[in-house]
Amino acid sequence: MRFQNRFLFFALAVALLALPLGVKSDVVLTILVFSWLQGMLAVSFNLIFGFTGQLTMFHAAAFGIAGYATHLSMQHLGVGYWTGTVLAALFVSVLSIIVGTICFRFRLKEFYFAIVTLAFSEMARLTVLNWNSVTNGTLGINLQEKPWLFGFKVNDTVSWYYLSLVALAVTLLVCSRLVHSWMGRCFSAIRLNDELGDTLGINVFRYKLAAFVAGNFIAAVTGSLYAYYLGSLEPGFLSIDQSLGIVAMVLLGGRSSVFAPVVGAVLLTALPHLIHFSAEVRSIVYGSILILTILVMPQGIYGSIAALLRKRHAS
Amino acid sequence: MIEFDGVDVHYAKNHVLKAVSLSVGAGEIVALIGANAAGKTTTLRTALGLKAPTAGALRLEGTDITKLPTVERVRRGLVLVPEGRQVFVKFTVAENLMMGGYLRKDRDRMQADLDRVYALFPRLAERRAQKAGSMSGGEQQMLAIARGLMGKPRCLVLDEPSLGLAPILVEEIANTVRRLATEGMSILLAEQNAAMALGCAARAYVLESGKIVLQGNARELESSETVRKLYLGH
Repeated sequence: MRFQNRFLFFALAVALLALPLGVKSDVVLTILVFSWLQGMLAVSFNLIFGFTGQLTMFHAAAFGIAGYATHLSMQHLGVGYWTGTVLAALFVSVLSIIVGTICFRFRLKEFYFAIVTLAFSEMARLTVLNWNSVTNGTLGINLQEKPWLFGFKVNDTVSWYYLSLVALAVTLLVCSRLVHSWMGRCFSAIRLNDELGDTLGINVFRYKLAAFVAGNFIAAVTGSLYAYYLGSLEPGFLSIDQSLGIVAMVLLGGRSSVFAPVVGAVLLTALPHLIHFSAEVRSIVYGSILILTILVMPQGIYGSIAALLRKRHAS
Repeated sequence: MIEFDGVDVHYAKNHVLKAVSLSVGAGEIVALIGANAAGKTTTLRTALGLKAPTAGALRLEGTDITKLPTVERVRRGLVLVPEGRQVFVKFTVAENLMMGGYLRKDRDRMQADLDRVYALFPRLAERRAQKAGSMSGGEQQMLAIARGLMGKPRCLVLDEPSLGLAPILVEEIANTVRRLATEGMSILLAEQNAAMALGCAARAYVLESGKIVLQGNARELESSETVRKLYLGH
């Protein structure tokens, strides 16, 4: 089984790397770039939600703030795109430590944690919206620069395809290393029973904070990539819709594995382009698909298929 | 080994423990008996630092641990097996056991201790790859105790290990507790099931509404009028 899995992943990786050689459609590649970036968001969110059990609504903030922070540090500190991204991710990490410390010190859980992180996220959005002199308010910012990598300018869709694919792969690798380590075991222990964790001498606060910061760090890197791929920034990046969209991806794909949220991200990114209905009907169809999937497959698409395969393998 | 010295505990304005003093010697089994809501669980949680006392002092092997966080107490060999068969239901038996050794410096080399614990609880060995949530209540309680042992405790604190278990399993747990004590472990055993607790223990304390109302040799308490009437039911 393990070997088969490895083989499957290897085949998938080769197929995805070779894909732009065969698929010349810019539309398809663009959808895939967005899918990989949304996948990174969903995977990093799932580190906090699916593994550690904390329903954060701060993800959109981490994602959006990073775009602005990258732009501002490039503009005012004169650094390049990659340094700007690192600075932005560090800035988001500091914010996450503050928000996380407040939430976890007060032992906010579940619903309360979701509401308080949502409030912080809205605070960030309103700041971005109203701080005209820095963020240009509702109008947003046009981003002309493109990142450079190994002497190449990441400009066309194919290079973005590879950049986002590699970024997603690194995210998956890092997260899977993390959840299979002692730290990951503690994340799960906290999700299952954090009081028991306390009893065993696990520093529940520290691990919750670690998961929160790690997830937001990845979301920040994603936000920076996303903004510069799109070429623009606007306060909508930080909206609740973003966070809710990520929740939908994770529920649709599944939350019990590192990889599962990517399935949800790809489907939800591609789906609107595949359903050719008028705008009003489209929302209804899209929503119905989401609701039905969650009702029929509570473990998500990936989780249900994996369970089915396990059952077949066992019998 | 562990010692309570005039410990007071409040939950908001409720005075839950009133000047509780008790001690457990090295290799000794001490029972803490009392009805529901007498303050047994609070006493144990206070021992572990999961609840802070409002007055009094706690000592572990002579050192004051009143201000020490739980992590430090566990490191020093004070391990709690909480009430109600608390296990990580979605973890396998083996994973649950490993969580018990989380604070150990040598936690990447736990195989020897796993083997030792499996030898003590053969049923857990058979089920090592099974999810803890799919086991029976008795097995989960065994797992909770076994997980406690993975932390290499010098003093094991058990909260109602017999709760809701069939008599034969209660007997099995009592035997395990006795065996651990003969190996030199100190044990503080809180129980509603006074018969079982007094059957294991050398000494016992009776807790009533947060106060220790009786204490002494377990054999003597067993035959005392009050204990027989109120806790043994004959």
